[in-house]
Amino acid sequence: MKNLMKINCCWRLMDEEVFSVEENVCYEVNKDTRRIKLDLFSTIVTKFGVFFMIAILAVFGIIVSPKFLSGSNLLNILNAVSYLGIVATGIAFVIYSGHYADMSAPMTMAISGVICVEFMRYGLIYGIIAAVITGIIIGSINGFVIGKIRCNSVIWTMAMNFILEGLVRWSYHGTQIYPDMANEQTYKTGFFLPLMYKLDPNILNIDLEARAAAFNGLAQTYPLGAPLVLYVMFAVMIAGYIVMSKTTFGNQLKVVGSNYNVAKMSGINCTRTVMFAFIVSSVCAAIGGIFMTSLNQVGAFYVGQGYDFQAVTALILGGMSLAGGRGNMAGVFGGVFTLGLISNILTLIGIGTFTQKMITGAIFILVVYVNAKSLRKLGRDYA
Amino acid sequence: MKRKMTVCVVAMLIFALMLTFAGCGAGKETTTDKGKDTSTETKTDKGSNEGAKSSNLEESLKIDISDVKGSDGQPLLIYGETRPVPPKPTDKEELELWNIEYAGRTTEKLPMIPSPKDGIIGKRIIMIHQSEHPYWTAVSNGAKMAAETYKVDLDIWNPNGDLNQQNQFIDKAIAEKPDLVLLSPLDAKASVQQFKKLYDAGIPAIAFNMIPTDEAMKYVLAITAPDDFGQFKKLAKHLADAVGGKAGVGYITHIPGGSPYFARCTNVVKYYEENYPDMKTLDIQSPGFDAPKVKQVVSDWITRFGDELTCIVLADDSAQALGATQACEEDGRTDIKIIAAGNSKVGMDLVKQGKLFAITYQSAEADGAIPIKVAADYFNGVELDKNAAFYLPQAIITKENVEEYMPAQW
Amino acid sequence: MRNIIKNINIKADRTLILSKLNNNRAYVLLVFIMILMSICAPNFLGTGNIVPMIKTALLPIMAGIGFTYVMIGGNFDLSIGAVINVGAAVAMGEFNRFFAAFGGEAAGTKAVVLGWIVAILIALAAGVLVGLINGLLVAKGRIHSFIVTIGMMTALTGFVYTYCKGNTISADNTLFVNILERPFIKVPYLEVFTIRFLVTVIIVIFFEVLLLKAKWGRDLLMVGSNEEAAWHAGINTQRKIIWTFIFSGFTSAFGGVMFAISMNAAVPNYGERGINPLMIVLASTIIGGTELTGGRGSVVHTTVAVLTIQAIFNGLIIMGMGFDAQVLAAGVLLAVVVLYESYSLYKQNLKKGAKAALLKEVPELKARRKSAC
Repeated sequence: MKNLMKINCCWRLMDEEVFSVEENVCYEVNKDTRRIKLDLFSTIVTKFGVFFMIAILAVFGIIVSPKFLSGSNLLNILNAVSYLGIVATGIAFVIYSGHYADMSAPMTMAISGVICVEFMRYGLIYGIIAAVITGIIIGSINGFVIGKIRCNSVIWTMAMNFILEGLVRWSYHGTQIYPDMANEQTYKTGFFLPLMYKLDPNILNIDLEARAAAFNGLAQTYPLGAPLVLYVMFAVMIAGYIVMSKTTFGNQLKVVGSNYNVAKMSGINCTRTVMFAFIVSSVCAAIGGIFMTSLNQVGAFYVGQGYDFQAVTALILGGMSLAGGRGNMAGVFGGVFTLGLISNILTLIGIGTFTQKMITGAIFILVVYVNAKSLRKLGRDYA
Repeated sequence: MKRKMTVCVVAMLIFALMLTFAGCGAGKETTTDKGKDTSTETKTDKGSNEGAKSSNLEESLKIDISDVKGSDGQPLLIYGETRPVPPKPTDKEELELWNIEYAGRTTEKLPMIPSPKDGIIGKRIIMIHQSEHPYWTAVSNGAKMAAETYKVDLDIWNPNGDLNQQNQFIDKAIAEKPDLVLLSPLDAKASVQQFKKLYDAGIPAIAFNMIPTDEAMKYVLAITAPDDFGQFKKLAKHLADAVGGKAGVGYITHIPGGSPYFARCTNVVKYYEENYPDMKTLDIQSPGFDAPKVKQVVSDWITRFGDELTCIVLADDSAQALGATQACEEDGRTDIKIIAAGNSKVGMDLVKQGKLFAITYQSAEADGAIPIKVAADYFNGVELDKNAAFYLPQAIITKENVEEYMPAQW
Repeated sequence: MRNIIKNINIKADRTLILSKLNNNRAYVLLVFIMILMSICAPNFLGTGNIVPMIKTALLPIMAGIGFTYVMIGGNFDLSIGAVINVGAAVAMGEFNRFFAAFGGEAAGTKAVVLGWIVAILIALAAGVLVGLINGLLVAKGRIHSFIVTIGMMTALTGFVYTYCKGNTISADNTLFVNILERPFIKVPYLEVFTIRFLVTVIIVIFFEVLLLKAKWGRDLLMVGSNEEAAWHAGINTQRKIIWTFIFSGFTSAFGGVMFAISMNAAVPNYGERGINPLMIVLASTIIGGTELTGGRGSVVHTTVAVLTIQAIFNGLIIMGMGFDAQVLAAGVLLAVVVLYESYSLYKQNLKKGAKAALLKEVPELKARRKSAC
């Protein structure tokens, strides 16, 4: 046993000192990329990425149903995935920075939703601000621990998810909180409601109906015929695009994601950069949570369950690499849209939900495999 | 190295603190610890009370339950009507459905554990329910109300949807030897072993909320449950009459793995096949309880079927109902009639606004209270009908009568 | 001078003890939790509590074996929750089919035994097949295990629902059920000895020995700690990774089969409500000291960590706390362990690049300064 450990240690040392040299030698002899015979299929796949997939699906859709291309159907698809789109945009930053996933997204959604409902009593805008601040706090904790102490992101955010879930359930005793409900009992549970009630007992008398209507209306406003949440998704994505590709921060993030050590050596404040990525993720989850809560018309711990894995699925489909530093916002949109498209087409054909799941999983694995293979054929590696 | 050690110690301390911290919070709402303290007392009490049995019984029989009302103002401790059992079908698939619907109604039960007939007061009852959900919180509240009325020492255990955990609770309950166990099995078929274990240990058990399989009913004293199948038949009839018996129906199911999955979808499909042949089944989907997903499914249906789709049957009246109603509104199809199960606040509000056509009345508090009433009857020496099913009071909530059932229980 | 040497020795001893403590932290935590709970929770150590607790832990223990192997290889397997359900559903469904094929009730015990053998073999084969596909995609396809297994999880969930048609499957014959769950002796605390328990223990021991005593396992540890070095040393690294996934599929499916048989029901959505078994297994693997990047870990430690987590849940329930407290406790424990682990690594990394020989002198210098004072 001891010998074994010794050997282990030995190999580790060698890994750091000897093989780091070897490694460079191995990979430096990359072939001259101009001489590689370009495989047409691979080129298309890597060049257009997920949009190639969308094109195939669209052709399929048109064959299946003549109504597929109608405006209302496309709008429906977009509308259905807009919640996922908002959350995925945030998590895209985390993956871009070289950390696998933000597993605390579901509970961040739930917790910011209930906090929004609590503070909505003073007015909608306060609720939204409070929810976003909650997101910032959660994101900074995650970001600090992962950026500074270099915890494994999956495990840490999962632990965070557990802790947040415990907190939400504990403070609500397993009940849910309605925006338009105000009685003595309501003000005994929650994070801030008891405090609010203590500070200002008159809170019982405020006119909640109008404010609740405003809050519930968030998910039911249709400026120019499309739901508000769709505009929010596009706004978040455009903002994400600008931050990711046009700012210094985005460039730094790319370096951090591609190679953490290089980033550190070149003087980038890695802790701050990673922290910012996680804050973006949590804030996006918070925004998604507000809209989900508004759609459900109730703040509860189960809002947003399953959005962590779904977001990662969408992002990987959209060409993000878990190794970090690869992918773009167009891909994020494409990935999210693809998920909606698959579900839409399968429902139009009349395939049940269970089989849909099976097909989605299979398509996902296939796409990733094809993507990885074509990248490798073109001489680039994919992790 | 010192730092490492301090980190270690601090971590342990934080953990211990968190435990106590969480303990204070949770202790507030459950009555469990109180039950723990008194459990030993009641046992000693019973020994000394051997002779005074009859006085307790008289006292127990005197308890007045007529004015006990739930938080929605409806009487809590009354039984609903029961339906006659049709003969067993021969077709295999129909038989499977029949087995779920009428489980225990014709079972040849094993000899039941005889009642001590010494009154309900002071008995220790353990209630094992299903999960942590607002519905179950209301169920617990109802059970607590009934326990107060009957002066029962009630423990409520919550396995939070984990079958493995529920099995552990059964073993624990057997070790603690209560007077009676109320069990809402997480899974109908898995409950056979659970009830068998309880029966073998000599502890009478009542199944509530979820109807176990026929096999399990051999060991069970009685079942109390919402009559999901009957309610949905009524609801389906209400809908069919409103649309003149001719419509295209889309179904959104409950999550699989339980009787609601069948009661709220297959049951209705069968009912329409038999009685209203013009109610056409268009599609069946199970997107779960995620509002955006339900919304997408309903939108897809509207695209796919167009005007053919005139009715939607939902298994849940909160998240599913919101998703479905919004999809209909966005596509300008407010003419689509939607029916759903349960009476949550969201659902009742939607009925009030006229967005939902009708929902079932399923009192969560009665769901928790009625099993205790049955237990009271058992301990008070009232002869229980062997194959009876004690259903909850039933009604269909529409726009006209929705005010009577407000405020909502959860 | 002698004083200084003594000082250094004490320091070294302390380091050794601490690192030993950390290496065996699963046991330390288990003892700590046991003591804490037996003080706080009445009857915690009673036979009526310990036996059910261990029975509950059997499923995550089984799934944890394969998961530990996969993690030692440096990968994740997120599909174990789904594989558990696949194993359970396939075993039940295939038993019903073969039981009828072998003659049903009329054929008596022979049909039952044959039916179960075939059904269990098919279920295990299904688990192995899933593991093989996962492994091939990860090792040969060079796709990240996180991605592969997420996709596999989605696909398998759909498969189980379709296979079960949304219903719970139970076997038509309950003969085997009773045998699997019947204790050998009806003595307090020894009631835990059921066939299911013994099978689990045997499998745990087998995989522990394979990992730590056999050449195969030591090779795997090397692959996990440094794949390239292992490759240079002549180990077929890809095949090792594929095997870890196969083991994972096998043990998860086996756990699911035994879980289903013990209840005589295969539930299609087990793990969707409540705490997912995946989460319990993942947490206990980390707490058990398996390194996330691979190369270190022990099946027994994972098993002990599963017991620790179950003890926490169980104790909190006895103390009358709800699910909220359980989740919170599990989260805090996991967070503390991860934090501790990465904090010590962080400290180590700060020293990286510094001259090791000089660093060694630091305590010496300090001690000298102290003695000078």
